[in-house]
Amino acid sequence: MDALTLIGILTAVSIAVSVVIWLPVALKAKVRRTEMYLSGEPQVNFNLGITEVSWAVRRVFEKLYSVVLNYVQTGVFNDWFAISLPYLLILLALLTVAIIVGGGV
Amino acid sequence: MHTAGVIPAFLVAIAFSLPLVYIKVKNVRVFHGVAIAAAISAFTLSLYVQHYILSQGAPIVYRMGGWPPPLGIVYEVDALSALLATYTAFTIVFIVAYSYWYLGDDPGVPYYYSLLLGVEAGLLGIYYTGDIFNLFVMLEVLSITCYGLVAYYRNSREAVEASFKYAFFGTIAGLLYFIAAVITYSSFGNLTMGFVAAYSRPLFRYFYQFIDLFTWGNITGAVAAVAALSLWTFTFKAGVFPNHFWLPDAHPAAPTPISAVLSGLVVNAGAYASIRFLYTIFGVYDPLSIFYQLSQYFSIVLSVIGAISAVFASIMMLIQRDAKRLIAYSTIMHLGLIFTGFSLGTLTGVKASVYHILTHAAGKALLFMSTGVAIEASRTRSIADLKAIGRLNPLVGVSVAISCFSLVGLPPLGGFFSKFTLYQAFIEAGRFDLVAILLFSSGIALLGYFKIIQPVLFGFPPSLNTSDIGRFRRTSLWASLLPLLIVLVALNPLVVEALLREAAESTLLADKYISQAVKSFIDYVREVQLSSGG
Amino acid sequence: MSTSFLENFFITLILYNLLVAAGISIYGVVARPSITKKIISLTILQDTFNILAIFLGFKVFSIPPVLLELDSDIEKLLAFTTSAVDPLPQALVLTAIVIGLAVNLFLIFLALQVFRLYRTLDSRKIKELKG
Repeated sequence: MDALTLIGILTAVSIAVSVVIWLPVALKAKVRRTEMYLSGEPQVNFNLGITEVSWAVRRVFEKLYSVVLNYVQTGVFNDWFAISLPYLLILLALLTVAIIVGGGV
Repeated sequence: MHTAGVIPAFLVAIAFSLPLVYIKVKNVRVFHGVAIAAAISAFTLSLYVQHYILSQGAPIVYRMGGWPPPLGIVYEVDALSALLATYTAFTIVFIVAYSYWYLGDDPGVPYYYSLLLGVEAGLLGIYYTGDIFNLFVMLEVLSITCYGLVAYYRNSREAVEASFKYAFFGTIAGLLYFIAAVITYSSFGNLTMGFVAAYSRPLFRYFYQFIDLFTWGNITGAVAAVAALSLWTFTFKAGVFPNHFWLPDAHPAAPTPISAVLSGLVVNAGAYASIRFLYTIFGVYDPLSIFYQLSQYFSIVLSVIGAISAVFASIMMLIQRDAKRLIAYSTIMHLGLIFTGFSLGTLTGVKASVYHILTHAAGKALLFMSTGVAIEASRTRSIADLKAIGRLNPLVGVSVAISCFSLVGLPPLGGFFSKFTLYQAFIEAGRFDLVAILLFSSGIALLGYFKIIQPVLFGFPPSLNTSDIGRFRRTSLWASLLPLLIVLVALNPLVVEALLREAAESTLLADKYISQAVKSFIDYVREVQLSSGG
Repeated sequence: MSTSFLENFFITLILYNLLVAAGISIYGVVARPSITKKIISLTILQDTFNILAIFLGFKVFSIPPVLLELDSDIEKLLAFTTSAVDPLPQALVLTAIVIGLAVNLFLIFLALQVFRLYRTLDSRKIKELKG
């Protein structure tokens, strides 16, 4: 496979991936927007435009984002340490394992 | 070769003198002029340094105060650091031009430039330094100025909160790096990068017999601790996944030119320092080094954190409603890709990482600056309310579109070639999982970028009065956006292939770096002998 | 030089002190909600690391690293280098203290500004920015 073919394939694949990811959102995403209620008119359902993708994505992948926003991106200072310091400990532990496996010098 | 030593000192001197001059000179336009003159002269000097290194074909060693390497502090500049330093100085010139447009007659301008030139001094110091402890000092110079710039709007709640969180976390990171430097000193007996690198490669100890053995018993244990602590600090500086929290807070809170600096340039210092520590100093990926056994572990760690941050940040990009926060998450994603690039330990991997650092820096700085114009015109950061600034000044619209396309990786632009080199590196190393992650994250990120492109190019035109419209058509705006746009288009392999190859080779093979440091010491001894004997 | 009981005792004492101080201050930094206490713990952590750095260059019964007369006698120089304290960690610590001063001042200023704007220093309540 020469470089040009690979370029073509990879670009096409990356666009295809984004389309595939977008499809379930575009098909499923319906937000019920309630206009100011006067008397008796029906509530309007409509497909979201691409500019409002944040709302659509948030609704479709609600579970994923609730986990992320409740456990990772909480905005509380102490929760940062709960993720960052274990990372440091894992680094230290992993490299200690490396020494034991390698037998040191 | 004294130019390398002059640049950071010169910038720090200007930075400190600006607030003093402000006591006498009250016209802030003077400070815009001084800042752009300082930025241009720093760029010229760094270009001269790079030209000198490339023509000489070997790194240069500048001895601070004339003290030879293992005793004194040295600056050691090789192809990689010279390339990144020149590029940083080049980008800062246009960010200063943009600051002139953005801040205008703001009374805080002298302090702003004092801090901004401090950031540049810190960055160039990090790139030029050849001393592990001097890297700590420069890292702190960079950090403190960045905290100050994030809190530039000191009466805004989000700026103060973001700056406090950044500063507190950054202080801990700096402390851990300090401890890493102390452990390095106590186990290697010196702090010069070239000499520590020589110690870790037995071959060099054979050639240079005067190099002593280690002072501690188990050197690999000490190096593992040093590498873990410093890698933690550098991932904090680079904003890679477990330490990424400060980044999406700090970017929206800072003034727009500072977002461009933080996102395009400051994070690169973390990636550069990781490359320097793992490749040059300890030679984790060098078969000649005694720490080669650590390579597979580092490969796992770096590729895992890189992959997680790429995927995580691209997912988080989709749900953002703040334009600057969206771009900040895109920074995390790209830094993740850069980390996966140099986790491989191959020539193509390092080349791809450095290439991606360059294209990402230009693309991200341009995207922040042009989106900042749209934010100014719509007076809100909410993406849904961004106005079509492209109809007022087509250059801004084109800049937003081109920089987004470059960050996504569409063909004629720089970002495409750097991502292509990344693909190449992954395929060469047989890491198809990383190829999948790169495809997945780029695909999702494309949607994120479209959120910004759509309103800026096709939204409603901004409602501005005539005097404001003039502001969005100023020459300073053209002068700051157009050059970066040209750079983004011109960053193709035909132009930069030779530079990248040079940089990657000098990273992967530390021989020249080590021998220049050792040669500097021998030269000093010869000088002393000649002067005392003759 | 044989190490006496007293030397061992003091060295062990300092080491345990450092460990305990590091443990307490890391707990304070990580787990205490109050920003003031976090900053105090941070300064304790800085001092602990500084003392650790000095400790690594320290020798028991040592002399200051000042060479009073320049002598070409190798024996005297060797005796000097084996008994003098390593001055470099002290220089490093001096730099770190100066940097720490600047950072701590800045942090305290920011904490003051946080209090002015939020009317609280509880880090659990300062969460307008969700990372």
